[in-house]
Amino acid sequence: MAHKEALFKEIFEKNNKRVYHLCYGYTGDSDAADDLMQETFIKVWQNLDKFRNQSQISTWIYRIAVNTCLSHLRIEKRKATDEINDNIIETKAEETSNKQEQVDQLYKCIAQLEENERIIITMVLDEIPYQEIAEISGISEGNLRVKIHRIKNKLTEIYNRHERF
Amino acid sequence: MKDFNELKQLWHVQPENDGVSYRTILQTIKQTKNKYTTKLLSHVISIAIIILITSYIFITVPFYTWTTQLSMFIVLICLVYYLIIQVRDYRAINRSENLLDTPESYILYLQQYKQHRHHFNTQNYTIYTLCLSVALALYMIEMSFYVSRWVLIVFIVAAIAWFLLCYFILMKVYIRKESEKLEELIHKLKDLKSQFTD
Repeated sequence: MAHKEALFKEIFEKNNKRVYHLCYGYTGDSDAADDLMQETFIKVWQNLDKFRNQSQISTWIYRIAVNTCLSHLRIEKRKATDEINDNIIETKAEETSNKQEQVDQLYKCIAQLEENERIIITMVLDEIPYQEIAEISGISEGNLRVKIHRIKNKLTEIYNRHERF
Repeated sequence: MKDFNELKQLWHVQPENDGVSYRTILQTIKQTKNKYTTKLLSHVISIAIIILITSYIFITVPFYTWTTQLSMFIVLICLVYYLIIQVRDYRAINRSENLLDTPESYILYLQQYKQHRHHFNTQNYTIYTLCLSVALALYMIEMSFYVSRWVLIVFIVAAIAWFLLCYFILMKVYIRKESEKLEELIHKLKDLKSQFTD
């Protein structure tokens, strides 16, 4: 048990930042991201014995995180949250630094992408190798490169459109 | 105007999230496990007590007609079935092999799971209502030996009204609401699946 806890601590410290980014990018809400990250690591703990080194542990954790995000299907609440988020971000923006404001804006722009685009772009921004992203998302590497190119352009366009206003 | 590389630089200046620590997660794991076990245990104990009381009455009380015993037997079967479902659900919660599938297969699993649960819940609700109504109707035969005709009539009218209310209003509303929820979920899942199709 102590060994499992030590291993879990190590895994958590190495991966929690990226998993949080993925969850935040997917939900567009920091509280929901905290919940999803916690849910992901609970599942990691429950399945730790099943990890058989067939892939990198980070790939394995990301797969769990992606599937946990996908099962977050509260459609009606989601719509309501999106509206609330807009207000919260606008109010908070006055109080936070300019950089933080830009980061919030970036998350707001990611939230406007399709679900799989949100997942892929947060991994690209976190500099996960393309091969690993392909393995996590179950999309071939060739197809993924085309998708990433398109998503990068789409996100940049959305961000710049928001920045102008 | 910013290009993608500038957005990437911006991404890396975001502060660390201190919201959840590994200790909090370990604590939650232990609490959740205890919570589920306690909940399941309390359900099992309360249903077991009801089953015991019903069985005791079933065996010891001399009823006038066999229909009352049949009525109690139906209620007993419903209780045992509910108990089995509780235990099965608890086990299903702890099963998570599908989590390691590709997103496309996982979405397909979610779709099938939601459809199965919907079918199971709505069908069960219908069977449950029918069983209780039949049990109540059978018990009324026994009642006719004890109560006056007027009381019996009032009771029969009330029981029929309850049955009609359940069957034509409550059950239909419940099934319609569940179907709408399922439709919305399936639509969302289909949309997600198409996004992950290579």
